[in-house]
Amino acid sequence: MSETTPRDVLRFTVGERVQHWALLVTLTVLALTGLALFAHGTWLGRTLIALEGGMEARGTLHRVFAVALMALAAWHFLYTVFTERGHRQLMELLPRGRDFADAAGLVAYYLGRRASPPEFGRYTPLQKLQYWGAGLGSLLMIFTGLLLWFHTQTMAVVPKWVVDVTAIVHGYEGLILFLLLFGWHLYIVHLSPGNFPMQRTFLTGRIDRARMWREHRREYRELFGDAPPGTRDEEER
Amino acid sequence: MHGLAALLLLLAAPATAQAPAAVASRECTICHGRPEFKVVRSDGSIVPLFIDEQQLKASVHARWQCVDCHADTTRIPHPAPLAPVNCLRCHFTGNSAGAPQNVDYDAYGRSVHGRLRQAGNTKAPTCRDCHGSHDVRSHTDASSRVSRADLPRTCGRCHVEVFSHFERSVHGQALLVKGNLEAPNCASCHGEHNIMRARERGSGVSASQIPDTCSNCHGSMAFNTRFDIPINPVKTFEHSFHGIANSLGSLKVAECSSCHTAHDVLPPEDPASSVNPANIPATCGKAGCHEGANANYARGHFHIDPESKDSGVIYWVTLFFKILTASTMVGLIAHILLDLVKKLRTRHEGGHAGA
Repeated sequence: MSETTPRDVLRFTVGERVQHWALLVTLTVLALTGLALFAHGTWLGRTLIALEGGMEARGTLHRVFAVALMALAAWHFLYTVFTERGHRQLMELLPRGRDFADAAGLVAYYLGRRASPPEFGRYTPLQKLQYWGAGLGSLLMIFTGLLLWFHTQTMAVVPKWVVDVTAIVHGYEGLILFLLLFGWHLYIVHLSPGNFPMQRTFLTGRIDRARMWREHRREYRELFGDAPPGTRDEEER
Repeated sequence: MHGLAALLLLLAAPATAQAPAAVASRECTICHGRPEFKVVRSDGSIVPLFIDEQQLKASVHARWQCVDCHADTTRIPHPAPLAPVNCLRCHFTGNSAGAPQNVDYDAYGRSVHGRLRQAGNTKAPTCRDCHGSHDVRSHTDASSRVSRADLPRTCGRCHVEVFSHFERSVHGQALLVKGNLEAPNCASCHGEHNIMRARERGSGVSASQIPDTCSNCHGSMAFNTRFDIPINPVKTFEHSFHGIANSLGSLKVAECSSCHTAHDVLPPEDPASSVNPANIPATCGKAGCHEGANANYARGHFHIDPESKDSGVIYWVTLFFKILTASTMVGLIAHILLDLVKKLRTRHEGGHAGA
């Protein structure tokens, strides 16, 4: 499963994988430098801040990686709007009515109310949730972060309490984003049975047909027809 | 011969000095007991040399004789002038003379006053400048120069301008006018024998120490409530960005005195207060802080406690996010458990793991 073979399907291009890596690195550093403030009273927070070079160096580091995140957001925006493949991915990722039915179907499957999981397309409802959670979450973090970074300019326009509220939103939104990506997303791609120790698509960009049949059956059917992988009908395609 | 006598006296005093010195003190008052006794120096200045024996009798040193302190007196009349009195003859930790043991006498040498004195600054105070000479009284004695309420005037003899500010502050008014002995005097914040410059790390009023110093009183809500301070200023500061950065060693961020000033502390209702809404832009906008601060800086709460409904919108937004964070966690954990259980079970049954 981990070796790529000619029969694997390219799921993510190099550019898409680089975007994922850039997001991984920027959000990790931003979380370590930002959430350290949440834990300022504990040895963990103090150790983190000391490792980051103290309070002021921590702030500088946070801002440098915030700029990197903004650059990545700009790249991703241009990619999804101005390239054909990028645009198609965005369209695939848009939530649709069917996603809610599929999510309900998945819960029913988990609870043993149905024998097999629903057939998912290129992006499952859970993957869409991860994408939009990370994406919109990052945008909100960028927006509130800029208001806080340039608080003097912000307060030239809005009263102090708006900035106070912004700080709370930035802090909790960061925490929620952390839980979503470093808790849930990491479970799904690394720890979940069948994926442990890791799902390699983010490295190779490839997915094998068996997994595609299991997890993205509608996409598989569109590409290879209704014959499951390993059968003679499928081999011919 | 004189040297030997002085040495003997030094070794013998104060324990054995009492009996012969009783005679000596009476001998001293032959001259020093006369109110008109004075000396005219070569520069024309007049030094009064009258010593009020009653003052000495009312002091903590009542039981000692003149030569116990003026130990270089070997004969009477003595050649003028005598050496300055060395208080450390008795005032050291472990002394047997009955001087207080719980005072860090050595701290004076490390203090800004002691260091300046050692560097040759004769204006820097020694013991007698604060404690007096023949009239030394315990700090617990209301008539002492270093009593709770009188210390500011003693410090103010040199620190004239600081005293004029302190006198008008809420602390100075409480102590000096209302006679409230809970109010701080100089030593409450600056220390006593160990006074350092404000910018020195060991100082109780240094940027990193001052929140602790103020919290000695303002850390207690029982205290704050009695003085109509509705929120815990220390706790709320510690949870603010300023407080977090301060506790982690940043010297750039605001601490208590950055906004409230050191000696002009006044309640926010007072128009002269640095934290009166009208003065907030100037206070926040100090050089090196939020330069360009405008009236918007005063529109909102200060010392915000997100747990308190008094914080208004902050309280509700915080509550909303707490609920959102908790429900997100519940949702994610629920999914992880459902997924885990299902996959382990289907794998156990030999089936494929699903999405």
